[in-house]
Amino acid sequence: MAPIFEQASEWNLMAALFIGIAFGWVLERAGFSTSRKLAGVFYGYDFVVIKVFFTAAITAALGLLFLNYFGVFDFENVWMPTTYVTPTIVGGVIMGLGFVMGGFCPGTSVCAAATGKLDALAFIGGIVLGVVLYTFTYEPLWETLRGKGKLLIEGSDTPGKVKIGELIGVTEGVAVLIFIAFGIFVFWFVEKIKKTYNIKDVEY
Amino acid sequence: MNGKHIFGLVMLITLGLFIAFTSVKKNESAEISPDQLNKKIIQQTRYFTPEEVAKFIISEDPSLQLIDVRLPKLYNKFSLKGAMNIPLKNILNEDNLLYLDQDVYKTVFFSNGTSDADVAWILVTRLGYENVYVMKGGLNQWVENILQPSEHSVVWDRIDDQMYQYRKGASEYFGGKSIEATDADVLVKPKKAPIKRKKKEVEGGCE
Amino acid sequence: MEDKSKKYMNPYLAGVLLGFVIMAAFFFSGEGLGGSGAFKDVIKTAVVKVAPEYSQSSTYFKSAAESEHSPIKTWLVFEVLGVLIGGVISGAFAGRLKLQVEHSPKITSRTRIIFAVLGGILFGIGSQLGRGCTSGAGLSGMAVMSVSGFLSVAAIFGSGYLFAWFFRKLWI
Repeated sequence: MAPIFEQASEWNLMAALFIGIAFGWVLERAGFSTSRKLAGVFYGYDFVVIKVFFTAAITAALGLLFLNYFGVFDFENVWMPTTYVTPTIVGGVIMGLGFVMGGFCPGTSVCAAATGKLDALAFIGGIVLGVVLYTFTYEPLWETLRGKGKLLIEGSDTPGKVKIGELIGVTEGVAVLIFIAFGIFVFWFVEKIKKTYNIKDVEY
Repeated sequence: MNGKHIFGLVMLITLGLFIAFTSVKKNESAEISPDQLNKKIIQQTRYFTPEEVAKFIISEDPSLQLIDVRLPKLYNKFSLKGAMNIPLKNILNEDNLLYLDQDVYKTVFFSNGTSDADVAWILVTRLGYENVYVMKGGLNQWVENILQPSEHSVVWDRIDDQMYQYRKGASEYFGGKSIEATDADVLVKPKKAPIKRKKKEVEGGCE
Repeated sequence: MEDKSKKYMNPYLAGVLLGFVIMAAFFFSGEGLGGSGAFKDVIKTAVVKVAPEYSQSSTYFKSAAESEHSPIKTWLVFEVLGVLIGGVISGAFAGRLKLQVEHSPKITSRTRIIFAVLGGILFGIGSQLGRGCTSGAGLSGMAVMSVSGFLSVAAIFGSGYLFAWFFRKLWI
């Protein structure tokens, strides 16, 4: 019965290391270790981020629901972020700005630094600075904002932990199907752009 | 669009359609986390004293489900009235779990002492079952308190006197004074607990 | 004939594999993948070590200072260490290990580094405020169909496209 390992056990930390290795390996293989490829998504010359991102999210959501269906995984009892609308959007906007400026996100920057990109190292330094800045200005600037806009659904026994299906009033299975349809549309759209403007895959 | 893309698309849509007709189910054997278990273990409310258990039996409490976790050999010699026998080593059998996974009855485990019953309690509590208890002190305490109540076992005062009277009454009820007493009342066949399970069933779809 | 291992993987295949990694994280540990959380954990540990009095007075660090467990021994820190190792392994096999500052030919390395640091700072702040970065809040959140995950991804990419025009000189 999943989760297999107890949260604070050494085994779990070992699992974390191996899952991290697999994560890093896939990121590197997909080309996420180069900022020029990553930033391409915003300028229409490389859509690898969108493709990998959506395929991964769809695969994982579908897979977890299947594990749940076969009774080996409790989808209801899993790590689930609490939805705070305001800080998520404000934080997301700040991160988006950081993405076009820095060309990485934290996970990919670690992977890029591993392959010797010094700009990724600088980006990591920036993250550390950013987190420190955040912590020192936490009480005056962020504390109230962070708790704003908690999304509540009536009749839910886990306040704030809202799934898409609950929000739009369908089962999670149907929500995943909608997600898949949306993903396929996005894939079709980016392939179309690629074809229309004759964009070639670039290698950095 | 090449062959691989089409294959991927078909896979995605098929799997997606399939999962759309199922709903998220709460998986029955979801174990509780160690820290939750710890909170439950240290709660004294998970114990019933032999007196409390005796009260339940005498008042024919319909929600009581007594489980003797000792070996069948010992169970056949002597057990509590209405108790059923599920030896500790068999407690995780599917059939036996059906008796335990419900929240209508209060399930009280007992053995000779406390520890075997405690083990049974921990096992089923980890499975997330509710309403399970342990008879503190087990049958040894039962014999001492209920079947052979002694005036001199404790410092005497009024409350103890009441307790003594109660124990004496209970002792008579259970045909006391001797553990060899194999009264017909003591040996009853295990009752069949109606199996009621509280779990969300999968709704609709292509089951 | 070009060495095949140097090519990047088909993005859809990579996505499916990444999806399996996320599933594995949930299945084995009940956790989602993450990136920024590890930085926070390390910084918390460092601050508590370096300035114990300060950490007592600050709401942000108080929980870390009072916790018995070292926050550095967390799942996310080990996972990010794994990413580092995985990146090195894959990079080595593909022959992509090379010390360099990667930038568009139109800008200098200096400009690239400055903007990388700025971007990092913004990501540091944003990920703390938004409870996780692209992988932690976004990808893992979407994997469990959490509204928070979808909102986060929409906000990050939306704002990315919004601001992309202003920084186009950095990339194209």
